[in-house]
Amino acid sequence: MVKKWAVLFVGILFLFGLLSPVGARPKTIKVGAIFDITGPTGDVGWHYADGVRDYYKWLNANGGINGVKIDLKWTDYQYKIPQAISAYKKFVEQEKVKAIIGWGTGDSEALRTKIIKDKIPYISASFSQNLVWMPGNWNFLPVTTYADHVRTVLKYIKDHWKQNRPVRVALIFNDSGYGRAPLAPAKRYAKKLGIDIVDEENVSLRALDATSQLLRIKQKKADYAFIQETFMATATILKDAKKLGLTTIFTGNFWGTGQKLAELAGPAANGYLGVMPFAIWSENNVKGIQLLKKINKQYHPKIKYREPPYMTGWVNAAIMAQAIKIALATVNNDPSKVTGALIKKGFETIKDFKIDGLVTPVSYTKKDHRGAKDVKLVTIKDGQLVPVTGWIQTPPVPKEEMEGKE
Amino acid sequence: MSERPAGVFNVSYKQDREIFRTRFLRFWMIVFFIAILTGPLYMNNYLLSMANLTGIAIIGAMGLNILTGLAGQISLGQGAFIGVGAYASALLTTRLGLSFWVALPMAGFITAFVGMAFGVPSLRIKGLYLAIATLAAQVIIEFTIVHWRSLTNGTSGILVPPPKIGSFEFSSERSFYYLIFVVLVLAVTYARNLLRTRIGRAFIAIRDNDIAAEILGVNLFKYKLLAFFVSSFYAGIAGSLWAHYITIITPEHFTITVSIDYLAMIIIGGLGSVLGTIYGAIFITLLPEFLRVLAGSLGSIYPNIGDILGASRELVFGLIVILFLIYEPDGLYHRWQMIKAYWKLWPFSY
Repeated sequence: MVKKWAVLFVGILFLFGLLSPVGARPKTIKVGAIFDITGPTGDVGWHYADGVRDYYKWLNANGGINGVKIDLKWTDYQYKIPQAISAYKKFVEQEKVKAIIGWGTGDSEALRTKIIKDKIPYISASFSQNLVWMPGNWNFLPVTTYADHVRTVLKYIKDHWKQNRPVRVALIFNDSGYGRAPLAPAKRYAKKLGIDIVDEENVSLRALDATSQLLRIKQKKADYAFIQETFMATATILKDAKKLGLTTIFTGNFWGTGQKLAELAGPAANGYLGVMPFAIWSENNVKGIQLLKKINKQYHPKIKYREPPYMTGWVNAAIMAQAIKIALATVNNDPSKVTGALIKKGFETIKDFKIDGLVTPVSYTKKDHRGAKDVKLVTIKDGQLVPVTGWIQTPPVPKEEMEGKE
Repeated sequence: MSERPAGVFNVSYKQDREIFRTRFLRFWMIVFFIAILTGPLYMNNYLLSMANLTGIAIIGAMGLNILTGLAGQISLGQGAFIGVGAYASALLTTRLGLSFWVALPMAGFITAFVGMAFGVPSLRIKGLYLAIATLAAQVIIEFTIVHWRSLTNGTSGILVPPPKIGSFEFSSERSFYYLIFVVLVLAVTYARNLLRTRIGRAFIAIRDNDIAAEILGVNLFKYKLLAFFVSSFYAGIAGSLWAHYITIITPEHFTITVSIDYLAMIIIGGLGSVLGTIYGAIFITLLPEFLRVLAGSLGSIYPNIGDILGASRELVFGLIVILFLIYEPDGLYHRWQMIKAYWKLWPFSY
């Protein structure tokens, strides 16, 4: 009996010992990060989380920002909005972070009014246009929006269309903020280009079957289809399309594009055309990719390949560091004087910031919170992701979208 | 109860049915009340926000517990009903320009009627079949919120203003804490008293054996619908509070996982018990926070444990539910009763 109590007592002491806050280290700036490592989007989320963490590890090991280190506080919110909100509260109230790196569309949108009130600049992996084109916006995107991406693809389709009739395009999406984001912009832009949007099909993110939707696409004789999903649904669509013998060419959003898709869909993935705002792992001539490969060899010796979200994480972390660097310069490198407002100002003065070719130079203005304005198109060839085009500038944003209308 | 303190006897029916029976209990309830009222003085905003999330969860779970724990009608749609309340309140305030104080009860009633509509099948079907019927409610409501874009703004969500009195805005954690606290006290008091009324007893009779209840003269249809009504009313209130607390709602807030979380709350807390609901809601809301803190503090010692503990969070959640079902089917409430009994009866365990 005595033993049991003793064990319990020691256990409690141990726990409290662990829970006691670590003394504040001098010369650091706290940045919060909300990741999904083990939730429904964890398959790409963990690459992203590693990208962010590796960047700051590497930065801090190389002297930080003029000697000031980034203290990254991160949490795994498992793609649950209430958990993202409580994590956010914890970061802002307890940890006193100055800025946050986020992840999903749902949670970033849920926080978009809170960050304005708390003056927390926020850069996330959601490229939803709802986040940027709103008044008093504190959100930043590393690249362009989903709407921009679908426009780029439509333009590419139009430019490569040789036949005499208008090209027929189908849109495939899911019922989430992310899934529906490009629908309205795509339809509007297609009308402008003279493209016929012949079909819109709803395929759930976790669909294991898309036969009925694809049969409709087949019936409507779509020449192209644009998929706004992630790996799993995209793979399902490609496999079912092959099974049904569709001749439609499938194109898709960034989050459905990667080696994982080739793994999941097998030969059906060949010829798939994806939007890629970042450099990809196979582009060995890009300086940033060489650096990432070196860092991965050092930090994660077992990992041989990184999905594009890893680059997203790295780029987001780098842009954040750059904004903090500018903010620090205005207060004589005194980290205690850096505020969220200063970092926001830092973001807005970033101009032609180069991240070793991982994206084209990043610039922000007060009005435009989208970073790099160019994307590439990549394809899958024999299970490998290979670039099809060089950097293409995304078409300009129409006025109504800038005003936050769908 | 056998563990009633020595010397306390019931000499009237009224006394027998009192909620706070001893002076000791009354004293501690007052202390507890004051402690909660003064909470914001010594809690920081993070703890307050946890308290607020828990408070909303308690209200939502209380409704579900009345329906499932008390009346025996299993529901897998509580998350969606909370969504109905949230959207109703958001639309009433943003579209019609009504004040939050009007929208709150109205959201409750609107949700109650929606809930009642989905409760109609409960006369014919029960148990597992009803669970699937309420699952349909979850799917239909989610679908409606996403697709009725002209009303709900689809997946882009709705920005909701914080409640106001005059020029005072309930936008801080502290002010919202008091708002939730008042609603919570009303909700808990009502639930606690419901148990003691004719309606509550009819619910219990239906839960225990509906055929017997009908023979005893309980109008099954009426009381089953009433259970759905009350339960959804609670959900509507919780939803309205959630909407005005978070200030932006999207369909992603009210998914099936939310419904499952609520079901877990009442199972872990204790079916059919008011106190149990509170314990369960606190437990489920704070479990991820606790695991996060644990992962965070262990992470500074063992660098990779954060990932592992994070991954095991769902596992721990599942494990806890299973263990509760096996070893503590009556929930935390029952365990608390056992602990109380132990101290009162010690050293004689009979």
